[in-house]
Amino acid sequence: MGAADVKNRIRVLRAEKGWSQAELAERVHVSRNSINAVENGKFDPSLPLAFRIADAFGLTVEDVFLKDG
Amino acid sequence: MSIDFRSFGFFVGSLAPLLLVVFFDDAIRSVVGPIVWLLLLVAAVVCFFMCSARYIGRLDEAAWLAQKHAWFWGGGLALGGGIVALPLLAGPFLSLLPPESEAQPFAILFAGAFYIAVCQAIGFIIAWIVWWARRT
Repeated sequence: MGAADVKNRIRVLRAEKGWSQAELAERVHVSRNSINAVENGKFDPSLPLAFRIADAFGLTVEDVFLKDG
Repeated sequence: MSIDFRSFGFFVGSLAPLLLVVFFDDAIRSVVGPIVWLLLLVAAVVCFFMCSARYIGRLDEAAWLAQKHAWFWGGGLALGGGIVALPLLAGPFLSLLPPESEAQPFAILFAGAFYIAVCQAIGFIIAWIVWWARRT
């Protein structure tokens, strides 16, 4: 499964929380570059990172990451 | 793409002592003697590896993947390309050697190793920048 096969709602969820990419990055212990890459669908996160991102928003992985198509 | 200056400074700070001890070996040896120079070299190598291990350990998964990609493609292709282009590019590195009559096997070996290291470093940096540029 390539990067184009997974969509995510990180940008929308960040906007709802009023968080910057740097703020989310700090909460999940990665760099802002990594969050940017994940958010733009250019990099598929590992399962642990996907869980950490979902946890940061108080959601499940399925609420944040969606199968494209 | 934003540059992590802390990591950059950390890496340069760990590499600088090693390069200093290796490139100014004659000058340092003439002041402190060969035994102390050897101890300095060992200390610089240990410092470099400890700093590198800490740097690698702090990388997140995207940065780790960028490193793997850059070493495999950048370092690997540059190694192959550097060997193929050796006759064209070796000039500047050969100029590091003392005059031919004084050239020692160690100096020749060192120039070759330095040439390969520079090729791989250039390839690594290009591949690393390309990897991040395509993802940010």
